[in-house]
Amino acid sequence: MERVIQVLNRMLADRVIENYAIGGGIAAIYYLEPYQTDDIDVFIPAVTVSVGEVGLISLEPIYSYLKELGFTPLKEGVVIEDWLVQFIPTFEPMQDEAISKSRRIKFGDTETNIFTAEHLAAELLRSGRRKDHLRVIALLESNHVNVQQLRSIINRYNLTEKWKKFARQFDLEE
Amino acid sequence: MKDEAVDLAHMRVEDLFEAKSKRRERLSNLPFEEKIRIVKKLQSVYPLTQVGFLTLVNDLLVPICLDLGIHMSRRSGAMFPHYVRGQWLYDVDNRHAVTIMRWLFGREERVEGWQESDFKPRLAFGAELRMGIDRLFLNNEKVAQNGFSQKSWREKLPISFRTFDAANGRWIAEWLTEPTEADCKVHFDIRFNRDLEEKLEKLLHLQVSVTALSNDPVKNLLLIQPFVIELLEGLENSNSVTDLGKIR
Repeated sequence: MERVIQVLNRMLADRVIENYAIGGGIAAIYYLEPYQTDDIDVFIPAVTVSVGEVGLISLEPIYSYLKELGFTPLKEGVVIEDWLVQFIPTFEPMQDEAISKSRRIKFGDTETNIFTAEHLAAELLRSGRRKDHLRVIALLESNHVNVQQLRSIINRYNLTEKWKKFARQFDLEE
Repeated sequence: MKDEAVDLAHMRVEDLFEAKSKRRERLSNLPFEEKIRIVKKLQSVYPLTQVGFLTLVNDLLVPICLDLGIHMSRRSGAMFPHYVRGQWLYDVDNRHAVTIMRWLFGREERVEGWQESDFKPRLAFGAELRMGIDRLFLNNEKVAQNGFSQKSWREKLPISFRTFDAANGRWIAEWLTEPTEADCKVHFDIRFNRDLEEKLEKLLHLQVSVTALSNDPVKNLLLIQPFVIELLEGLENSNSVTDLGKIR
């Protein structure tokens, strides 16, 4: 996975992307126990990939850049070495904050950005699939999440209703 | 994990939950790199989807086939009556291995897509596919290839996933960009990668006079070989621009 991170950092240095942070399953694995996942979700600010005044999103510059480096698009991502990397342009302000406030961590000798446990939990809550909810529970149980900070994110980004529904479902304090 | 003997007769449901919880905690506390290694092992049990693997194989075979001027299609039972002797075919099994064959030639090459618990790096996998295909060429075919038909520049220098053994290790070549012709010269941009863990790559820009290029790809490969090896064995982060315009 270090090679993937090196490529992401190179994209950053070459200004192909403005910023990035790893979210999704890989970020969850950073805080929790490992489980099977096939891809790496890389969140990028939508402003980087917006085209024209209407802000149409195009990943073409990213794909072209990676193709030049020899990495071919596959399914909904790009295969970099043995990982399917998915670039996800942000579509919620909370995701932009998740990138800007991401944690700087090291993988091997290479530094990368990863969602904080609180932003990851909020994003999983927003996403709202059953498996996402289970990860939120696991994150809360892991003690990696600062509940006050999570509540702050939930309140600021209009996720209160989702939290209430989730809390009722899992018998948590609303 | 503890080596204590487990007394199944006295085990309670709570013990199982506790053991599971401890296991989760232990795994959660592993270094991130170690966790990712476990993920890769899990991926080998539940690997990349078959469709994804097929797409990858196709993406690797396309440049090789373009270079070698051959057409390769996936073997289909329904097409058996229509295949002609010597036709290039490939198939992928559910263990992520590719079998390359020539119809009714009685020879085939099997290339594994996985090594131990990890998926093979794309270039290494491409190189093995290339070697498999090369082994299935027949001698007289190579002669046939040396005919007078007008070949594309790629066919004149079939470099895709070809391996070069230099003193400092094995390098795998692929096109950086499509060859182009300008001012009676053909411009070849080739990327070489060594040791996929180190991610060391070198670029070679070759300008070859059109008249210096043979219709025989083997001769062209021999022509560039010294320049390639000089580059590969040179300084670690060097790239090279070579003009072969005066040769011939």
